[in-house]
Amino acid sequence: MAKHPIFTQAKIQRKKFFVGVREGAPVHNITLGGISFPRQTATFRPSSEGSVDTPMFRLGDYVDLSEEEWNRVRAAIASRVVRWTKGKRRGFVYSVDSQSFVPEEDDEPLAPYLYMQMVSEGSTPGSQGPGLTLDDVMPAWEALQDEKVRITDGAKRSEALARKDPRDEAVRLVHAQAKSRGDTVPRESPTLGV
Amino acid sequence: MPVGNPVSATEALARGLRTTFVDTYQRLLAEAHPLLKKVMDLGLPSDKSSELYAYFESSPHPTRWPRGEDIPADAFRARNWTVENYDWAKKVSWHSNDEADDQTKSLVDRVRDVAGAFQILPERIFFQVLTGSVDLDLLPVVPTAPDGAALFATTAGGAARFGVTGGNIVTGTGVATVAAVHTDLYGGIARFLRMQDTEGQPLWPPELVGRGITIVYGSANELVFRQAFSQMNHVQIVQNVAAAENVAAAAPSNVVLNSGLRFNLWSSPRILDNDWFVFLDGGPKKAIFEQVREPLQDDVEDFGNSDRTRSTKMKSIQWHARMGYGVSLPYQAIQINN
Repeated sequence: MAKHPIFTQAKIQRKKFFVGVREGAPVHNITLGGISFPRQTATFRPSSEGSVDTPMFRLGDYVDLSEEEWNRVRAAIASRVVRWTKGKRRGFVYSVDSQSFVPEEDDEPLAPYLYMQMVSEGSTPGSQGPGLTLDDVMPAWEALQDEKVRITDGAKRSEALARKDPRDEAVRLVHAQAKSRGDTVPRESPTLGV
Repeated sequence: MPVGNPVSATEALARGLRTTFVDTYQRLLAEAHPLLKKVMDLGLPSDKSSELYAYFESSPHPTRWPRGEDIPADAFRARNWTVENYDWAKKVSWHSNDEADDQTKSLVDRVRDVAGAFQILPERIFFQVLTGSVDLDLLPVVPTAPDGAALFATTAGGAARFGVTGGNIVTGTGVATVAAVHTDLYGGIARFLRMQDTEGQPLWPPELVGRGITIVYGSANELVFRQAFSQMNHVQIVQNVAAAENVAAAAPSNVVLNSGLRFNLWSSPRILDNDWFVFLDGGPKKAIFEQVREPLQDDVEDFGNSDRTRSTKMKSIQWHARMGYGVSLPYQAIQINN
């Protein structure tokens, strides 16, 4: 019998990430590169009484990302800037790709307001359970496997974002402003591995 | 006792001033956008400090019953969530002398514009929830949906939201061209049609799309959306043979205009990026809703009813209402994320 070749498509490798927005961010939820960065999400536990499930709220969310999806998210993060009004009572997130965007001096990069942690093998949302805090997961920060760079300083991170994704002069301008001020990004902990 | 933050009317007291421009800031946006009710349920009743809502998930579908075996049985669960009512208010004070001396005779009319501003409140909150924005003058926390995910999310409870990869987020191809908007529009419609109920069956009847679709987008992208939805023949942009630059090619007919579908366009300056949103008009419930515990009331403070006015000559009007805003299951809303 004649042999017929069988073509197979390589399975797309995905890694699990713990993502969300930090306290003090200008948004409680934002979609970047097709991925939602929520402040909190809920899982549901069956109630002992009746058929109503009980929501168990936790910080952030878990997403599985391929390398292509991750690159898309990274590009989207690098293109967003934050503008506060009313003394940080109201936050706006602008896309530098928008036709109406004009950089202003106090614009900040969005990246430091986000977290995105690669979850280690065998660590599932279920085992970590609800009530997870940022302090619980910060020690477990790891650099992405294909990006062995871990930047903990906000200004350096902004600079790196601009260098890695120099699509728009406005991005570089905003990040340069953040670097020159040195005080526009939270420094207490790493927030984004790039 | 000093009275803080009254209307500063000094500039309007000069004798002989003309009133030609007195209506400069007369409130033009005095009622909610006419399309708001297509994307938001308004005025749901409330009689408590917070309301508990619930819905059942899909009932099971029949399955084959093998001879001699027990009849196949299944169940379904319910979800509930709470929406809290908040007080919303604004008070404006002015000196009665200023009212009497005001040469424009419009001070009190401008004060009363605050009532019109209350009509805009649901729209402001709609966009706060839509964009997930922090605004401490509005909701303290942007609510999550009853399935535990954000308004727009790819997954809920660890699974693809609404049974379709990507959930109710479509990764867009940009807003640079009409073709990109058309591609993403039909990507969004296809996403609706691929959604599943909680039993894994198609969620929407195909004809639901024909009952109307509301598109909400940023005002900065007005041109491309008008072209995409209104221009009979739009200019197609393609790359030249050398693939070195984009050039104008044919002007094909508009696949949206020729579709027979009904679209409502809502351009808003409250959207600051290139994201846009697709809403099914025919969904049984809207993604975002308002509940009203106490409707808008006004209290007028004057010489007839206020010791403060009699002792300070300060008059005021205050408006207040008790209302809550929540997110229901957002299976009729899709975000095109660019």
